[in-house]
Order: sequence, then C-alpha cells, then structure tokens
Amino acid sequence: MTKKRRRTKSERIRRREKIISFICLFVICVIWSIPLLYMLGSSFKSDIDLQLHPEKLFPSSWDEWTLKHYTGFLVRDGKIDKMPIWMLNSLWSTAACILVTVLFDLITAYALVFLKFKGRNGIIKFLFLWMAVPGVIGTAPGFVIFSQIRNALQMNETATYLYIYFWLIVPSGTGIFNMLLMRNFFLSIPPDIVDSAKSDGAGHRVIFRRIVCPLARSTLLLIVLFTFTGSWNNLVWPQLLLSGEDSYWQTVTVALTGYTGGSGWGQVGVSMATGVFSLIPIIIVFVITQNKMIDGIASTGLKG
Amino acid sequence: MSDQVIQQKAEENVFLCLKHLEKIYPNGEKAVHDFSLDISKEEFIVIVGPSGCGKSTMLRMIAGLEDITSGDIYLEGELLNYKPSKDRKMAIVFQSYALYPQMNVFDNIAFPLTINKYPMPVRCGELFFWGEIQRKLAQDADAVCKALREEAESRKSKRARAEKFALRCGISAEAANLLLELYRECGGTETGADWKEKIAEKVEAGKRELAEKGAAADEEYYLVDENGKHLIENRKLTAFEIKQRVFETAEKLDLVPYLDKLPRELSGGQMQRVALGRAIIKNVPIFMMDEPLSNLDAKLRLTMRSEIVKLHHKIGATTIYVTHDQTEAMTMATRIVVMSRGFIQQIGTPKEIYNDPANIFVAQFIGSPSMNVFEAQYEKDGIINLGGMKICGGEKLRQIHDEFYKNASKEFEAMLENFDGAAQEKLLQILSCTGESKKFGKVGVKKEKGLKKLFSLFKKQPAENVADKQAEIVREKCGQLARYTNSDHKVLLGIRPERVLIEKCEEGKDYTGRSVVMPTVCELLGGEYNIHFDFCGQDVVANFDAKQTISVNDRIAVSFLPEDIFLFDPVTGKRFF
Amino acid sequence: MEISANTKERQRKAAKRREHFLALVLISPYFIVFLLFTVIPFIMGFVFSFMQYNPYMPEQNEFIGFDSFARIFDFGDPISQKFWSSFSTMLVFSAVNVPLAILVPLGLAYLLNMHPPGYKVFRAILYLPCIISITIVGIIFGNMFAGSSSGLINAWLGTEIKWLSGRPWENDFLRWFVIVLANVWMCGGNFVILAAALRSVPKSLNEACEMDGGGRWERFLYVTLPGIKPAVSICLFNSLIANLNLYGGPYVLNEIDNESLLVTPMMFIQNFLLGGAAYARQTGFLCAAAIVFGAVVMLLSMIERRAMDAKKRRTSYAEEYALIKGENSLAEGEKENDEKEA
Repeated sequence: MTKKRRRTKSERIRRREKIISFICLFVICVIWSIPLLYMLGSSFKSDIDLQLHPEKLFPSSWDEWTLKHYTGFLVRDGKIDKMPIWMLNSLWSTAACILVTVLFDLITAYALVFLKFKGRNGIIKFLFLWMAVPGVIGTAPGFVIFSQIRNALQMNETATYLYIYFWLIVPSGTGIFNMLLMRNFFLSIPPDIVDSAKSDGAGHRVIFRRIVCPLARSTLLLIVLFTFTGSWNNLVWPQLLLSGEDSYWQTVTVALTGYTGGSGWGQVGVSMATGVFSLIPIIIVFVITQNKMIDGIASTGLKG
Repeated sequence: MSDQVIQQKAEENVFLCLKHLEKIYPNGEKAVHDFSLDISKEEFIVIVGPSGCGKSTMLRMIAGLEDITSGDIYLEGELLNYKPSKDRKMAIVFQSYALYPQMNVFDNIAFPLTINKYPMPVRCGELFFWGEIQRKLAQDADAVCKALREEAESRKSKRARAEKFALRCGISAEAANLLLELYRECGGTETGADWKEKIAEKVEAGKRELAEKGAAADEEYYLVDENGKHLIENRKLTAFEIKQRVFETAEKLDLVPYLDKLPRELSGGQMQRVALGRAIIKNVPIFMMDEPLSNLDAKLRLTMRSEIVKLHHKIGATTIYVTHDQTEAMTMATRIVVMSRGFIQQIGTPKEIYNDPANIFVAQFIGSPSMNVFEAQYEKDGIINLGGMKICGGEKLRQIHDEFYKNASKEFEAMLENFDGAAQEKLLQILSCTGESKKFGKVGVKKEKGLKKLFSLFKKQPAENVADKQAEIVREKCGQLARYTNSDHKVLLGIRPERVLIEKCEEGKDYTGRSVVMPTVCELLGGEYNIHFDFCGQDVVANFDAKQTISVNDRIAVSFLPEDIFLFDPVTGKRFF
Repeated sequence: MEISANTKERQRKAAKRREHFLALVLISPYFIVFLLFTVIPFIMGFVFSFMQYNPYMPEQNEFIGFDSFARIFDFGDPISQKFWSSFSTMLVFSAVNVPLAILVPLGLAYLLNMHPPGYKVFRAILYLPCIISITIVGIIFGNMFAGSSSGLINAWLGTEIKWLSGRPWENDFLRWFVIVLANVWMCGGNFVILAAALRSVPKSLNEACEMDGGGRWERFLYVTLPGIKPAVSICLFNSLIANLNLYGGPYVLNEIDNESLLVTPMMFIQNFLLGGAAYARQTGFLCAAAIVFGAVVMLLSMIERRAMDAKKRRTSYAEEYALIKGENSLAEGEKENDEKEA
C-alpha cells in the first residue's frame, strides 16, 4: 500500500542525526567506561599478570583470573578485617545521616510552610542568605571546638568513636539545599487540601501523617539519594575529624585515600579490589532508583 | 454562465492546489486520508472538525512541518512537497503563539526580517544618503542645523550622538554619521542655506562619479538599469528599514505602546496580535492559523474574530484557518472544509454547508444549537412516519429514495466483490461519517519497549484480521441496503431548530396532523426562545420568537414541513433528501 | 450555650499560642543544631582571626587585631606565599575546569537530544561517574596514569610518561591534564540537568523559527540557548563553587605527597589542620586565611550571578516611534528635548 517515495529532506536529516549521534555517543560511552572496566578487570588480575600485561583491561587468560585480591582485604595480614569495618562505618553513618536529614527536613519544612508564626519570613530569608556563605570559614574553628570539647571530656574508646561520628552525622542534617527542596515541595501542595482537612477537624499531627508525608514520597526519595551520595563521598570533614584516630574508625572514602598518592601504588590489585567492593552500595542504589535519581537531579535544573 | 465555464474559471484561478494528500505515521496510523482541495487567491478557508480529526496535521503538512506521505502540493504550479518551510512563502500563527520569550515585542516582530535576505533595490552608496539629507533639508533646514549643532557638541559617545540625531531628524543612522563627520570637517556655525549648498555639492560629486561608472540612478538614488527598472540584490535590511516596517505593522495592530515589553508581560490578546504581526511582516501570500483563538476568553474571541477577518480583507492574503469551533468557521470562512477522522466530509461555502449538508456528520456538527435527529420509519410511497406523525414527501421522495438505494446497493456489492485497498478506504470514509469507526479502533501496531520488545520477538503474533472484520461489515451493510430498497425501513430524519413549527395551543382549536406536547425547558435568549421538549423519546430543541411568551406549563403543537426535513440513510450516513 | 466574646478571644489567643509553641518545637532541632554546628563556628572563625590562638596552650591566647590579616598580605612571608600560590592554582583550575564542565556536558546533551536508540543507557553511563567518590576516582586514575610502564595509559602508548609525579619544574602540565580529565569525567550532574533543559525547549518555538527562515544555527542561537539559560546558569554556579572549593581531585591524584605543589586553598587549610599540634599555633592565622578565601569565593560567585542576570538596556522603541512618526517631528522633537532639559 505504501509506495516508495523520495524521503523528504527533514526525514533524511532526522535519520542522519540519529545515526551520527548514536555512533558518537557509542564511542564516547565506550571511552567513558574504560576507567570503570579497568578497575573491574584489574581486580581480578593476578599480580604477575598486572606486571606483565598492564595494557589489558581484563586478565589475559582464564588462568589469571583470581579472587585473591578480594579475599586479601578480608583476611590478609596487615589488612585483616579492615575493609568490612570501613564499609560498616560508612554504611551506618550514611544511614544515620539520611535519617537525621529526613527528620529535620520534614518537621522544619512543615513548620515553615504550614504554621504561621512571627519571624517565619525572616528565618526563610536568613536561610537563603546563608546559602551564599562559604562554609570554609567555619571548618577550622569547628575543628578546634571539636577537639577542645573532646579533650575536656575524658572519654573511653567507644564514647570517643560515637562522639566523632556525632560530629559527622548531626551537622549534615542542616543542609540548606535539602531543606529548601522540601519546602518548595510543601509549597506546591494545594492549600485547599489542607484547608479542607482542617475544616474536617484534623489537627496538625493528622495532616502531617496522613496528607503531607504520603505526598512527599518522591521528594523524600530525592533527598535520600542526595544525602546518601553526599555523605558517602564526603572527604574533607571526615578526614579532618578522623585524623590521628585508629584507622579502624575511618569511613571508606577517607580510608581509601591511603591507596592513592604516592603511598599506595604498589598494591594495584588490592586497591582495585577494594575500590570495586566499596562501590557496591552506590551501584546498588543507582541501579534500583536509576531513572528517578537522574530525573530528580534534572528537575533541580528546570526549576531554575 | 454555464457550469463548465465556472469550473474552468475556478481551475484557472487555482492558487494553492492540494492533491490526494495522505499522512501515515511510522506506527502505521493514518491521520489524513486522501485530502484534495483547490484554493484560489484571497480565499479564507476554514478547516473545521472535532479533536483528532487530522486538521492540525493537515495544516502542518501544508506548512512543511510534517512530512507528506503521499500526494502533492502545488503553489501556482510549483511542487512544494520537498521544499523546506521557509521557501514555501507561508506564515503560520500557532495556537500557543510561539513568541520568543527573551525578545521584546519589537524584536519578535522584526525577527523574520533580521535573519533573512530580501531582494531590495541597490543603493548608490554615499550618494543615497546625501540625497536623503538633501530631501530632509528641503523640508526644514534650520531645525536640522540646530539639532546638528547640539548633537555634535554634546559629550556623549560617537554612536550615541549619531543615534539620537538620527532619531530627532528622522533619517537613517548612516546619513546622520555622514552629516556629523561633515560638520566636524567644516566646523562652525553655518546657516541652513550654507548647509544646503554644501550638501548640493556632495550630491553633484556623487552624481558625477556615478556617470563616470556608467550607471544610472532614479531620483531617490537607487540604481536603475537601462529600462528604468531598479536593480535588485539580495541583502539584509538595515536597522532603519527594519524599524520602518515594524512600526508600520505595529500601527496596523495597535501594538505601538507594547513594543518594549517582553511576551511574559503581555495578555493573551496582545500576544496573539504580536504573533499576527510577525506573520504579516513577512509579506507572504499565504497565512495559516492553527486554532489561534482557543486560548482566549469568550469576549476577546468575538473581537479577535472580526479583527482577523478585517485583517484578511486589508491584506488580501490567502488564509487557511484551523479550528474546532463551528461558529468561527461559519462566521469567518469563504469556504469551509469539514473533516472527521482524517476524511473530508464536505467542502463548500458556509451557506451550502448549512443548508445542504452532505451527510449526517456535517449536519450535526454545524449549527448551534445542533440539528435535531430522529429515527423515523420510511413507508412505501414516500411517507415518513415519525412517531405517529406522518409527513408526506410524495412521489418526488419515492423516486429519490429508490434511486439512492439502488445506487448504494450496487456500490456496496461492487465493494464486496473486490475488497481491495480502495474499497477499504471507502468503507472507512463511510464509517467516519456514521461514527462507527470505533468498531476496530486504531489500525496500527503498538511498539513494544525495552525488554518487552525482546519477548515479543519470541511470541507468535496473532495475525491482525482487520481486513476480515472490515469485509464482514461491508457484507452486513450490503445486506441492509438490499433490504431497505424494497421495504419499509428506518431512516434518520433531521430538522434544524429554527425550522420546527411551533404554535401555542389555544382552547378549542383542532390540531390534527400535529403533535401536542409540553415543553420541558424554555431558555430565553433575549430575542428568542430555545424550547426543549420530548418527542419520539428524545430531547428536541426548537427556536421560537420571543414576542409571545411560552412557559413550561403551556402546551404547544409541533409539526415539520416536508421542505424543511433532511433524510439520512442510517447505513451510509449520506443524505438523500 | 452562648460563648461570650471574651471567651472566644481567649480561646483564639490560646490557639495561636499553641500554634506558636508547636512551630517552635518543630523548628528547634534543626535550628539548634544549625546554630551550634554552623553559626557558632562561623562566628568563632572571625573571633580567632583577630587573635593569636593556640588550642593546645590557651595561656598564649591574646588579641592581636588585624595582625594575621596583615601577615596574609605580607608577600614576603613564606606561608603567605604558599597561600597566594594556592590561590592562583585555584583560579587557574577554575578558569579551565568551569568552561569545560559546561561545554562538554552541553555537547553530550545535544547529542543525546537527537534521541538515538538506547538513549536511557547512554544517559546512565554518562551520569554514573559523578556519584563515585573522589578517592575511588583517585585510585583508578592514579593507576591508569601511573608513571612507570605498568600504568594502563603508558602501556597502551608504549611510553613511560610520568603523568602524576609533578615536580615543580617539569611535568606539572601532565598532572594538570589528568586532574582536569578526571573532573570532566565526573560532570554527570551538569550533563543530566542540561539534557533535561534541552528537552524542555518547546517544539513550537523551534517550528516558528523554522518558518521564519531560521536554519540550524539560528534555531540554536535564538531558541535553544535562551531556552536553556536558567539551567546553564545553575550549572555554572554549581561548577564555580565546586571548583573554587576544589580539594579532592588534586589531593588524591598525585604521586609525591609531601611535595605536592598543586595545592588549592582548601588543601592549604586542610593541611594545616591535619598537622595537629605542630601547626596549632597558626590557628588564628588560618582562620584569617579562611576568611580571605571565603570572601573571594563570595565575590566571584556574586560577580557570576550579576553577569548572568545582566540585561541590555536600550532606548525605548515606543519613544523612537513617537520621535519618528510625530508630524513636524523635528520641531516637536526639539520641544520635547527642551522640556526635558528644562
């Protein structure tokens, strides 16, 4: 039924576009994934293979595949049981960060949007202004206060550990960006819904639990993702607080700095394996929420 | 004049010719079926139809924004199919106006002029500007001198001085620059007469140069050839020329106070006028409008309707207008094209469409309030039985009826014998006007996405038996038609609200032959009533002059005249009487 | 039962007080923590900068006014020199990184916008590197660009280029290159934002431009670019702040840790703080340095903000029209001007 006809110029252009962009993106993505593939492949290469065939991304033959590096950081001498503990540190502190952030953001944003009180606008303006303030000014004094309080309270090991992590987790809950994100979302809830609930006799607790929280699920997910990546990958502040402490106490991100720089490069295989291992949580989160995470970040740009 | 001559004249006048245009989307869905239309110059064509009938697709195909699957478009004999949009000499006003949000109104209107080259007469270099200055001096030399003195001695930057001076005198920026330079060369306080001399000198010098080169110029110093015609070159317009044109257009549309505003500061009606301005300034012979009034409120819609028609008369461009509002179609068009489900239902002038609808769809779509349609029984010898009321159509009706059904039967039998592509198209056309197209939904394959695509490759696809279903329907209809030819059968009877005869019942009068009913609702529109009453099981609307008052408690006698009724065949939807 | 006006008034006031109390309860956790952990250190930063402060020997603390600031601007002081050289490093980094962090994602987003098959896969791959922590990136790139022949890149190229061992007089450029490369690799956030912005440009605007005679370039200039301007502005701001505060990249991508001369101000400050007791005496100076650095960051970001919001002012078209179209325009124009000047 459809007779062959000459393609119009725009159809040809569109087809050409798709082909060119596919080829370009394909090539670019291959190059883009080289570092990750390299890490993956090297973690399975035996030491000899690493020396003899450094140009291959993956082990050169089936013989050379080894899990030695992985078992290495679990039970090897000098590195006994450190990596899992680092992971644990990161995991629980990140989870705590998420909890604290979500809690703080929910209740504070709720108060800022749905409750009227004097000075509400002033507080919001203050938050907006503070976003422009560079945080670096507070780093050194913060550290000083931290160490002074620590020296003042003579604590045992566990208490010190918890104290350090307290200083890591709690301030992360005060991220202004997340707070404003939550507030923006609450502002977008039609006030009619809340008004009709109030006229039905609902108190604030009910409104919060039954109306606002279920609606906020997608924004909450976004905040969780942001907090997760931010807290997991945080380097400056944890490095500062954990300096001079037992290396068992470190988070993954801080601990792995030991493999970088001049000091670590003799143990390529092990460092690669630890790298792969430490990426697993983030990759899991990414795979599960992939599109939502990307769409969420994109939407922060669109609100602009 | 005989019909033949009229036809010939129409063909000679054809400006835009659309032949058998079709649009099939990549997923197999056919949006436009066999659209053919001949448009003459300065016509106002309105394509009207419900949502999804393919009218916007049609417009975009003509404009070049969608690809044409098959068929041809000719503009004065030239094939347009493969030409890009900007070469088609068309301007389009979108439903959302599509104004550039970062530019103010002036820049929006000026945009087509700033990015294209236009054939313009060639100017003779500096001589052109000296001539301009000379003409200005002839008007009012002293004022020019005063302005010149002031500007030349002001402290502002060179460009600012020239711009301000140009504005004050109403000359172009280049001329202003030349004059300021001359001032600086001579310096001082010459009077108007001295300046005139100086300028005259310059003009003479320029003329001599021109003569040396062997070129000729007209009095405004555009180059001309031996025959006195201007030499044309393709060039970009200067800022001054652009300003002139934009100001002209803005005057026409009353947009002068808004020239500096951004689109987000304008109201809907103003934005629409800016979009119109952008289209007008291109000076093209064809305008296209895609539902431009649907975003406006009711009152504004009325005013803009007449504005657009007035504009059409003033500018005289051929206009193709797409809408779903039949009132707009009736009031604005010289010819209407009614579409449904991708098929043309009827083409004609508003009067023709209203008084002579070709099928039931057109009849019900056009006219407000819409036509009342009843199911009636056709009895032998030309009598229509409408719920007890008998309307006698006489011998004429019987003849027309028999003729119609004989032809229809033959047609369907032919379709049944040879059920090919053309026959399918015919069937779909008929279904589009009876409204039965939903019987087998969209013809097309749904594209699977992602993983499902992989799985569907392994599953066996059940063959789409669309053709069989369609043949089945044709068979059914054929049988119905055969039966109808020789016996009493159902017909659809239509009558317009204003043609329903209503008389208020008085005591003692005889109303045989008419039905006596009580109205359910009486809507007073001011000068007339819309009376609703139940008849034959449905709600009927009738117009009634408000000189007499009628309320829900009165009884009215209704009747229909045979001249006023339309009879439609329920099988094909076509009108035969 | 009738409630008197007084009772109503009291009830209303009580309700209001309850609401205020609730609000206070709800916002206090956040703001108390904010106050304690963010605002107070900030203020203390200013306090310390005016003091000679040593946390380990509090008896040495004394108020010295602007001495620390004077020392920062005393270019003979070796530490101050280090500070200012780190400053210039940061500025150079930013000047190189920020444009790349906008242009490369823009190009990628533009390619992605042509909707090739596998669109979502490409997007995911290009985004992934930005959620990997910088230390892992340091490990990977450190080994890829290792100086000896067992580094991946060297093995491929068959050379022994010392990528990351930047001694002060040579090969700094290569280390720069690797750090910038890693930065570009991790531009996923900007990429996703720009891709979404490109998609959100309304199609009808493109069509209108096409009808007006605009080709590919005009459509890009007049429809696409203005359409994505807010997103570009956000990306620019984010990238600027991130690069001014650059720490992780240069820190993990080096081979000679003690002599790393690609230092940014953040690294400078961090090095001091990590030094423990040895550097404790310099706390006041450090705080002053942090304040200077912070002020510059604020200044630069405000300049960027202003630049993006700049509007062109031009003469009003409506006025021009009035000038041109008025009959006897010259005379009237003169009168207008005279009135204006009067």
